[in-house]
Amino acid sequence: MTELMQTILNSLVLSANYILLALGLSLIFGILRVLNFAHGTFYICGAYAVYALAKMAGINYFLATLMAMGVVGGLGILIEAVILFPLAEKVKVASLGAILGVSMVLEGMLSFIFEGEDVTIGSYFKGTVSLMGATLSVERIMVVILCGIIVLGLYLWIRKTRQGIAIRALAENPKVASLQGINTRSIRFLVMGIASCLAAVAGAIVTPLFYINPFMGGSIVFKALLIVAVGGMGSIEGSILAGLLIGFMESIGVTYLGPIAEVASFIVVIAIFLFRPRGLLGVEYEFH
Amino acid sequence: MNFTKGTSKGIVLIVLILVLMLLPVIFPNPARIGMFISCGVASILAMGWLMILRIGCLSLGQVAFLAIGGYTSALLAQKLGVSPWIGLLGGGVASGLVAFGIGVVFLKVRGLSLSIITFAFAEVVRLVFSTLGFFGGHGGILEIPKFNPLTLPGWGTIQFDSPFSNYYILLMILFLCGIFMWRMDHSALGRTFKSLPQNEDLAESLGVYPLRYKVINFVTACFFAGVAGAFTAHYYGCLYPGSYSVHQSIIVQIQATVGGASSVALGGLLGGFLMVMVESWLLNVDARWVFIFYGSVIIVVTFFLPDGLLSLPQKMKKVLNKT
Repeated sequence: MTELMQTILNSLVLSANYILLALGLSLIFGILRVLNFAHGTFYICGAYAVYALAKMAGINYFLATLMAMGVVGGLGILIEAVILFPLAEKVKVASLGAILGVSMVLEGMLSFIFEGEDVTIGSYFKGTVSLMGATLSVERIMVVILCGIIVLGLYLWIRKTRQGIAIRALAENPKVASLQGINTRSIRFLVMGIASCLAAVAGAIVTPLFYINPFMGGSIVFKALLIVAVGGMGSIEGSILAGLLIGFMESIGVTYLGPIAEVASFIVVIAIFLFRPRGLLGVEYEFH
Repeated sequence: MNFTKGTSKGIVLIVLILVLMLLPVIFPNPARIGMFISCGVASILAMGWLMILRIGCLSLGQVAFLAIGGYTSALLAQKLGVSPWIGLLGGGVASGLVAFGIGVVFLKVRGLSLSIITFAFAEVVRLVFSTLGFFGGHGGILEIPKFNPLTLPGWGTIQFDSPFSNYYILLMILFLCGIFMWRMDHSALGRTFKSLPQNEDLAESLGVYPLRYKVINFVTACFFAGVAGAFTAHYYGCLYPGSYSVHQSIIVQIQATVGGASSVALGGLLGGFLMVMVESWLLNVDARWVFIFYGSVIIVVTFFLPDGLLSLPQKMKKVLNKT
């Protein structure tokens, strides 16, 4: 029982992480039409920012998280202004190459600043709680609740507010949206900023739980990309569903089958691509 | 003397081949020759990447085929005692077969989805090699037999125990790959490849069955990647699954893009040699610079030279004519 409950909690933590990243990627893809390969590096930047502020400068963890969101959000906006916006009119291949370059430069810089060692700030909320006979760590429960609140907030923001409607309009048809007086450029900045903040939060969450190193971004961004693809490009509900699916599959698989289970999750993803190319809940997108 | 375009191209080609043949004679330092070998392997991969780009696929998984070729040849040699020379071919064929299977199933998918699939495939391959005990797990495979000496009638026995002699094995593979890709690119087949990303539906309506050509293209590129992989396995004598990571696939893309897509063989050669030379120089300074170098190079190239270094002479001409 304890093992099962712990596995479920671990799956939720993993899913929460993936969902935060996948939502950002999905937003960026919807508005900027770029597969943001640097998203994993934003996530690691967020994690390192929290590490630097909380562990090295001794600032309160929550304050450090907020500051990391600011730093990484600013970084995202800077990259949009300097690199992605000027390339927006060119072919998609160009922005793909440039964003891969951004991610590599950031990784190199992080490994210079932090000497490339694996770091962690260690458990922040100590203690465990007993639930139905299982002992669970308070920290992981907090993480899941916090992510739930953020995702719910984002969902309501996109569904209910004027800006959210503008974003959805722009994702659906950029030309018509700009004819209606929606400022494409400011929405692009807004989306990039918010998506980067989400990546920073995801990074901040893992710093107390796991060891981080500058080159982790590569594999996690591809997981997030797969989740976006499985859920359907541009669909928030789809990303959440797929995030939970992959998180649970991976966590349960690794617990009961060993590391080979990761292969299984990739194979499921490939199968979904094959039989339902637009994803579980997605609409058909033309991308070139 | 009347130099037509054809003869000047021929001269460039002959000079290029001579330079490549004489490189280890001019720089006899074994470490240098080792670097040239890495350059050659990178060039073969970059050529394959550019070939696949012709059908409109941005492959993020070329390194997987390098791994498949390497592991096949290493296991053949270790478990069955197959000669590394046959292993070269074996590695290529194994990669080609896997590419055939993958291609038939997945090349129907278009655009960036295909890039994500190639990446996912590369991750599956890496995970399989690093988790299954049969493939040596995380530790990889050690003590892979080196190339055995060849006895040629009239020449005596040639030993392949130094980087110097191994360089010429690689050069042979590189030439074969380059000539094959060159001929393919400039044939009717090559023109069909180029027509596919422009308008696949139109090509189909003209009687071209796209999947067939895509598979031919993909298998060719991956076959040579497999041969190169088999060569590296026997040359280094060991294989680590960690060296076939996502970053390596991205680096292949960067090298190829820097070279330029206007010619598959020349672009791959230029990109591979130039980038790996700078990379190995940076590795001596500080390995962390490598990432910053590759990242900034691809950003600069995307902005100022989107068609790669091969388009540089034309650009220069344009600028000179204007002034």
